[in-house]
Amino acid sequence: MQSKTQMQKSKKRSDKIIAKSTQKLIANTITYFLLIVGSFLIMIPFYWLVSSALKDSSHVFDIPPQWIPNPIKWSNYPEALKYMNFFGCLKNTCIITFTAMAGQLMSASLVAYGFARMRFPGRDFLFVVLLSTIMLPPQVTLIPVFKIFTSLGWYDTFYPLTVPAFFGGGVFAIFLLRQYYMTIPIEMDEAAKIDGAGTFGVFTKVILPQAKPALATVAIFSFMAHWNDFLGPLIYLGDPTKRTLALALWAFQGEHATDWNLLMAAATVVMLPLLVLFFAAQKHFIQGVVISGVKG
Amino acid sequence: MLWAIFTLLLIGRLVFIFATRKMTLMARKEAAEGFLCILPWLIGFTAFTLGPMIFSIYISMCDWDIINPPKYVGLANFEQALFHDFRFVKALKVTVTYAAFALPLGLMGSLLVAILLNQNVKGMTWFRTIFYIPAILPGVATAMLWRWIFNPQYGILNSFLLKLGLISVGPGKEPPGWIADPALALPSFIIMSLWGIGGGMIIYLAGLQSIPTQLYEAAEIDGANWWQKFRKITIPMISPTIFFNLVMGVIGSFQVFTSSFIMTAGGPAYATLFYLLYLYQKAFQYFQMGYAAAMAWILFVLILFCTLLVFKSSARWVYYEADVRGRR
Repeated sequence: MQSKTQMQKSKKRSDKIIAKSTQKLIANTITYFLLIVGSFLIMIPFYWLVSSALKDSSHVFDIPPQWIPNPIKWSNYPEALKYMNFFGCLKNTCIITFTAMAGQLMSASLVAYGFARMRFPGRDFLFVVLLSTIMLPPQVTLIPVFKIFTSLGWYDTFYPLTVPAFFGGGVFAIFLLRQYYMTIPIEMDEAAKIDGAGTFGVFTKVILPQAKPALATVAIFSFMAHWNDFLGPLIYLGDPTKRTLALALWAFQGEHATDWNLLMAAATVVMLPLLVLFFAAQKHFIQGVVISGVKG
Repeated sequence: MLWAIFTLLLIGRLVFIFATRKMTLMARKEAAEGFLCILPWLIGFTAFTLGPMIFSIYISMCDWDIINPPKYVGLANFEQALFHDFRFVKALKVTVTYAAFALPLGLMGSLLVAILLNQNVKGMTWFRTIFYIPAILPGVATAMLWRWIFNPQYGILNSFLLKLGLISVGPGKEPPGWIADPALALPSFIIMSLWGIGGGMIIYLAGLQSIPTQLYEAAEIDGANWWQKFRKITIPMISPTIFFNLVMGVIGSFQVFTSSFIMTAGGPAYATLFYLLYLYQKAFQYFQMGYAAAMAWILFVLILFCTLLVFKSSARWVYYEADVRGRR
């Protein structure tokens, strides 16, 4: 009698386990199905971009669209690059991006250090002021700042696109670095001070080496923001030889409105460096979001 | 210029002396070093934010073509924009409509995708990468790509729909014109925005991964089903993340520029005249700087209002663990 109930019990338990594992299997299948469908939807535009970029101009407007280019026309790439002065623009973009990135890293890391570690009157108030500037749409200051830079004679130079980065480096970067510095134990600062380091020594020898992951995050987001910036170069750069890649791509569209194969070839090469960066620094991209402390 | 810098330095020095008058020598030294550290930001804030803000208020009440000196006109710019400019009203409508659809759809879509990507199955890194890629691409390139996709005759969207039998083409039957059709242009932009939900998704993913698994285990022992777990654990635990994405989304959806500038230039029939595009046109094509500055301030008030609304309502639905701990 007793063994019977026990058997029933164990059968029930094994049923439960089987039910659970089938449930798990169904859940996994649905997950995979949705993920694959979603990935396809995301990737199709990319495939379309690359395949259009490799088409002969006579096949670009085929109906229904050609999915696999035939013939594959690699020469679209050199042609598009030549028309948009790719290497000149790449150089401009690199100068702007790397200068601004350096400026942002230097000033944001220093400012964040001040807010995280030093005591001075009005610090908390100023930090609130800093944070509240996120809410201000950049358009409010766009026109006066434009006036400042043009009256300095900086129109058609890279200064308007790089110099501001040296003065603060952006709210997001300062905030992120400050949050990160706060997690570094203050005992480390004190130990360094006992060893004779000054304020600046603590900053360069203790804080900066410890904050490498956060600095990497700031660097990546800074790179992305400046590489992708369009409105800034659009407003400040006029001379075609000073164009950035984003700007050149836009100008290229104006001049080659119907050469879709060339346009798409140009678009791929402008995207490419970011894609490479993304794959190289993928871990930091994801980590960066976690570090920035948005999880509340 | 030099005089201005000199005066500012002097004022700064005096303020510093006054503010630190009751301090010991050590504390005063630390305060001085602290100010030195944040000096780049202080200068930047004064030169590129505070000063321009004040100047911007002034020129919003002027007629100004940037070459001739500004001419004071009072509130005429604001009056003109709000009551006499149908393009301004159109731009406002376009932007608000876009935000009203793209924002909730994007928030829900990115949350669903994030939940999907938070499952423990093989190959997840790849899927996460694929979903995040569109969010990192240059806006110009993305806009050009989608302009091509939306092309009524040769774009893949219509050819896709044709193949699925959702649309048909024949005599008297035009395929949907997407960004060329005033009725469909804005919906097209909303569809396009959904392609780039990866940014919000990755933030949700971070939020989801910070939820302690014990909570789910405890709920399972109590016999909770997935919906109850989602409703009672997931949503409250990530509510600060939802809040963050919502605030950023409000600010972001009022700032659409590149895509409308590249794809439609505001057309057809002003159907995609986004607020920022119109502001740009007023400032840098018609050189009505005063008018554009007034527009910027109206936008600021609007964003501030929406953000405050979100903040106010957040007390009801955003759950902070620290709060509860504090109450106990």
